[in-house]
Amino acid sequence: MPCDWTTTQPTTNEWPGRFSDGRTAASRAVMVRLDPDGLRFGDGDGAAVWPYADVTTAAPLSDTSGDVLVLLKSMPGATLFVRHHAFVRHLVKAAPHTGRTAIRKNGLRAAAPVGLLAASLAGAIIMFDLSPSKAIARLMPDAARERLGRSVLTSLPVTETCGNPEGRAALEVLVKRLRPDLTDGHNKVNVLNWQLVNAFAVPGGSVVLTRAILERAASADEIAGVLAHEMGHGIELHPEAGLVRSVGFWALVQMIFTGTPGALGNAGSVLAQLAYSRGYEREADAIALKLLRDAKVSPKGFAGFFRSMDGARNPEGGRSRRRSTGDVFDTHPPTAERLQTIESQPDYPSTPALTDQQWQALKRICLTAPGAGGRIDTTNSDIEAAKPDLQRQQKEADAKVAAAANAANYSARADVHTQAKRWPEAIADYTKAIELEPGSAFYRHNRGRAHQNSGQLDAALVDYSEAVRLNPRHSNAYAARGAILRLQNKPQAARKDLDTSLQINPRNEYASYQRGLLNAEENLWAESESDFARVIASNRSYALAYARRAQALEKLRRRDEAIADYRAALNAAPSSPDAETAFKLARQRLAALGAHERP
Amino acid sequence: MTPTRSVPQVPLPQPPTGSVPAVGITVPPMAAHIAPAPFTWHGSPWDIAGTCIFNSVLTILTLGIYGFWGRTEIRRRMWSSVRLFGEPLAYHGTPQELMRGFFAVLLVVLAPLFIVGSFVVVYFGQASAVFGVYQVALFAVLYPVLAAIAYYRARRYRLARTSWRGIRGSLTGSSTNYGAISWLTAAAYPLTLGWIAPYRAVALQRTIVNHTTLGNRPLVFNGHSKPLYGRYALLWFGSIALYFAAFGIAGALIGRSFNPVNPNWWTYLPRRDWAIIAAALVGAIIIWSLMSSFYYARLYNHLAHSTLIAPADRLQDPDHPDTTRFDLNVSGGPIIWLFISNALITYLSLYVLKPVATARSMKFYTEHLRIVGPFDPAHIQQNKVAIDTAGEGLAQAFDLDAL
Repeated sequence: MPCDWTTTQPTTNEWPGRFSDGRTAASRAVMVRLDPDGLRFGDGDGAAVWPYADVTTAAPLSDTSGDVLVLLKSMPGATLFVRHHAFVRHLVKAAPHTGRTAIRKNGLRAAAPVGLLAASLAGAIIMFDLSPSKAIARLMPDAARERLGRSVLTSLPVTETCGNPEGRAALEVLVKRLRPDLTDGHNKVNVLNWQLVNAFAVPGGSVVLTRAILERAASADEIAGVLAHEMGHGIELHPEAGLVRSVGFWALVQMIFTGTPGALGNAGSVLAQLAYSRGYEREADAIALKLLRDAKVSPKGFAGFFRSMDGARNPEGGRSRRRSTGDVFDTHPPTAERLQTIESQPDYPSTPALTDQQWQALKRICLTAPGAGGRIDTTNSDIEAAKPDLQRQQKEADAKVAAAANAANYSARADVHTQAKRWPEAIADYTKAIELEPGSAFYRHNRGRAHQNSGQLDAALVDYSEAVRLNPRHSNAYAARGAILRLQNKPQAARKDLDTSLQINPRNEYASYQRGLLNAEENLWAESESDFARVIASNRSYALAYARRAQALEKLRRRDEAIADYRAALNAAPSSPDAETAFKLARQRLAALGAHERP
Repeated sequence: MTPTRSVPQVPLPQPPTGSVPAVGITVPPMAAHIAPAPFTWHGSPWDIAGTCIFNSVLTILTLGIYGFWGRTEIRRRMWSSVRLFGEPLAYHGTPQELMRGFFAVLLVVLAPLFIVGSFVVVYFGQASAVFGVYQVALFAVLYPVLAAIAYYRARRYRLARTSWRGIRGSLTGSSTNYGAISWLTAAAYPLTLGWIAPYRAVALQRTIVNHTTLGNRPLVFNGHSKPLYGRYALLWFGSIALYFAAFGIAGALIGRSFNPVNPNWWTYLPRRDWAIIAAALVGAIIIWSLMSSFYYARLYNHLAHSTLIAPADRLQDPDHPDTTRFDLNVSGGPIIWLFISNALITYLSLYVLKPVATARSMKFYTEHLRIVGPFDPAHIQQNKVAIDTAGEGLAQAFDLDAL
């Protein structure tokens, strides 16, 4: 008598189930028994025994499984479905290999050796300080590494190289001194016309220095330290090894997560790579110190550069407010640690990395006609420098410095450089003046202006802050610092400085102009109009001040007055600061307002 | 009329080494099912959550090797949760197959791509025209085609390893052909301003369904894209209207505060305006999601309704009373909720609970799917097709979901 599996209740050791033979999708009700030799089942007219060793289940069984689909390994397609928890429990006991634990053990048996091997490898790498990525990098042919380096160089946001003959010659001297073993080492140092303070190594042993880092450095010894550090990266093949490591980590993440890395895998990969990055920086520092020692260049310049960079991040002095570096998210070791390493070096006889003349030539490497691969720098500095009167002033200033190297003479020569817009030279001379007269707010302010004009806003902030510390009544320093803070989107701090500047000197045209801009940015149009009016009152030929006041008047819906100011802007002095901007703005707005350029 | 069929007497099978002789038994006739045959889901999708965590830990510790075992265990449990007439599906794939497939793709597809890419970067540079051409070829042609091929092959693998009452599915046909259709129809998106979408969905589904069998019974796809265009038009025009409405509101408010003098003008945008802009954009996203889900509900229902289980001699008319077909009845709201909740589960668990999200989707669609029309399991016979011995490495490489 066939049984109905949905209603038939199990007896002590028999359970209702459904059997399919796998030839068709039909199934029929059977009673199943767990005998010592296997699963025995039938429907009264027939019976079969499936030995336990030959059965498997569709899903791994556990104590919570409420039913089971039994399959027979030797008869693909045959299935037996039993929907009773007690049956499942007994089946797991009779055929333990169907249990979830046994199945997981099988998986672990296959995977554990890989895990152990990986753990052993990781242990060996840590214990013996191995670097598989470096070993692989060393296998790369030189030609491929150099091509890779060129590829990196061409993909940078700035590719314009600097290389006037004097600058290249000075660079060659510096490189030869650090790496006398290289015949064409200087050709591997690229100076890019880039206003970003940076230096880095690329594959193939090449190093990149930016124009801004040369301008920023206070001495040739600082640049020698930076260059030696980057050369250290090149010697140890860090760029190539970093590339290999990135690919390796990517492959590992793909492997572990088999195509679905997810956030967990990516985060782990990034953190692991940062840890390697810090290790490489320490290696490069160690090599830099060795290169400097061999070249008899003092490491103090290298330390000075770190201090200067740390100071720029923290213009208010003291230790950086930024959370201490050296945690897992940093690419570099903590600055304090690096300084300690450098300063703990034993003293040795040293001479400056370059002569003053060579150092000045290197700093100016981007300023005049470059060598092969560069372009002529057409900044105003060259044009101005060509003017006879400036040349004469330059000669006189040089002569005065030669006669008496005091602060006043350095400052005077820096002023000439400033007129010629030769910012690195101006900064260098103001720096000499500051060294000779550290208490002068005047020199600090002027160097800040040179820093600001050369785009080094952080360094300018440091100088202006020091200027107002030395002279709390320095209206111009407050105004200049306020202008930078405004640019850095710190309106409250900017307003405080600009207000202070105008309290000290209500006729400070620059402070009024900057506060006018700040008020306009904060939609305080009446205040903005008042500030620009103050500027115009003291300088009636300032085209951009008229245009800015006109914008404020427009916002205040004083159309006729705005039109009058736009027209005044067009009639103002073309030599006033940013006059072209003022003319363009005035023409656009007059057209938009439907007014003619002339009444 | 209710057709009844008698099933020939089948002796209970014995294993080749069985010690008890088989005895012929009489089997009562099995009635063909006329009433809709519902699929059901057994248990909760969250039952596998603990296993997911366990698998993730072991997968990391064994550098991914255990992942193949873990994935197989999860699939076996998921497949077993799907029931037709109360009896479960079975998954027959093995970890070794998945591992073989993965390493095959790593060596045959990914490694060559990496080598070629590295060569182009090193020898021509990232700024070169060759690199540009390489990138276009890679991302605009090779990847989309490979992803479609991977999808097709993965489906073939899974169908061949899925059985119900021992009867396996199969997918024949050329995955390259599927890849070509997928790429060509995708390439037509910009030309048709997206209006090819319903046609493409139907064309791709037709290619798969018409090469699919359940045992010896081929599936037939007899649908067209025409019925989808009404709701697609609503979605398309609705999207345009929403776009202009949301960005119009945002633009008008921004225009009031825009200050050309101040690069940081946006910091002066009043909070009320921010709130209105945010509400407009979020509202547009919500409305668009609802419109999309209504279209997709229609699409899924239509694709299921157009899929017939075909005896060769029957008229393939989905409305004919003797036609056996699938039927899906999902609506937009639940689909969007499923999408959002699954995304939260996946991302908040850092992908660890992604299988739970997959199981939730399976449960949802399983519980809304049924077979309607005469359905006689006894007439579905085993179909012996050659099955791939390798896993679905290509699909894994392209991060294609399990379903």
